[in-house]
Amino acid sequence: MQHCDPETLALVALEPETLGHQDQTHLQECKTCRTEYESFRSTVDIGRSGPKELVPPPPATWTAIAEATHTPRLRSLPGGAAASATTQSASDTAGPTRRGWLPLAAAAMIGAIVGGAAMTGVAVNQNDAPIAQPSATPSITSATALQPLPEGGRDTASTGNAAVASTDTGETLGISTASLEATDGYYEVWLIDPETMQMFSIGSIAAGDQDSVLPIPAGVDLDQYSVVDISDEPLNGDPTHSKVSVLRGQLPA
Amino acid sequence: MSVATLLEAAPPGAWDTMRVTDVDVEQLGYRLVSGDHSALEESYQRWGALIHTIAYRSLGDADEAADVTQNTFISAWNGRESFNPEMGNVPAWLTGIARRRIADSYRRTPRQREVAVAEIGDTRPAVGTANADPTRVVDQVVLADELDELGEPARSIIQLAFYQDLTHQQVAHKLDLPLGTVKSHIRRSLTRLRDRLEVTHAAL
Repeated sequence: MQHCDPETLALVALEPETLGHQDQTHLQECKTCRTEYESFRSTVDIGRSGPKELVPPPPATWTAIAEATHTPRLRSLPGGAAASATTQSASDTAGPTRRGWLPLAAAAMIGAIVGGAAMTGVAVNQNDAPIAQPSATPSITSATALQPLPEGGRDTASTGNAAVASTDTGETLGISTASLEATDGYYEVWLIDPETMQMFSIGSIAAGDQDSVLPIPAGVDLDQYSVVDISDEPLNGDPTHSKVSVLRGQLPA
Repeated sequence: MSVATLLEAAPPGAWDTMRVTDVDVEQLGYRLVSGDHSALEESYQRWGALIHTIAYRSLGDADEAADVTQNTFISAWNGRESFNPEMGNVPAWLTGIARRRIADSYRRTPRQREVAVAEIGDTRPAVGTANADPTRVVDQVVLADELDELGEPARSIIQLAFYQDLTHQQVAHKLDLPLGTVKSHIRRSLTRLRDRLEVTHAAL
């Protein structure tokens, strides 16, 4: 038995009047094709009868949720003083390791810089180190502007800043970038020793306007590895530096 | 470098534009379960409108819709340990919670409900009546959300076919695309929309 072409079934779901005689006969006989067709029909029917656009909730809704769940309300920064404490419970269900983009952690760090508000240590890697204990304010120990490298790198209209924060759980590097161009690959963050050009990769960041917080491996001497470098890396599986730097800055000694 | 310079690079609301990709949805579930507040905020940014629209179209009242949205996310946070990211995804889980909050709301004020629902005033058929089937409202809104997530040209193709009732030939002509491309996008997109509905049903 010749089944209906699935592409035809999808089309006919949108335009039932185009159902051919042969397919019609087959649909009556074949449960598999009929089920497929009816599921498409139902999808089309739901889609056509539904809203074209969603209605976002009013702003006060998030405020209330944040309050009830003790989520730090960091959007109101740079007031800073309003930044409330982050308390993360111990994790029993750790997912696969991921060093994701952590807007709240970044904002929390910046909030701490601005307001000096007492807040808890911010766990940087959500899954590996999800426990944050009430602690002293994370303090910025060093910071630098990140500048484009028109020579010896790829020119960019982007700018950025990097700041080293010291927390109870170790040191973190906060990176803020503005207008970092889209790339086919990804942007990787390096700490480089300018004397020897030895380097560590400490993570990757996304294009655009981004705030990221990356953990600095314990034991890395920032007096030695004092250059923060962001490179454009192709997705070729090669873990070494592509030699295409876009932004760089030197942390003061 | 001053703090002001650091903040300049991160204007308030810079993270409003964040989109969670499909790949991140599963991770988001794990992060929520582990008590990561930023995962709650991301979930809200991504699915707040979905939940709110379901509530609004089910209840027909803006205040109650906002309440249901609020309670859904608070319930999700408080009950996060019961969520199993291996068994379902975050939006379907949230939708299930919202359904229960909407049912609670119905029970509280059954009489006002009928009046309110009748006042939604949607011009499209099959909604905005006192008899609106709650599952159907969920389906319609979930589908609109998924349609929004389709990449181009799939989204435009489906929008033209759904809302302007254009035939696939007309869509191809209008978007200046080969007929075969339009056909294959239609099949892939309808399959994806249907699958999203199935995942949602499984969680209700």
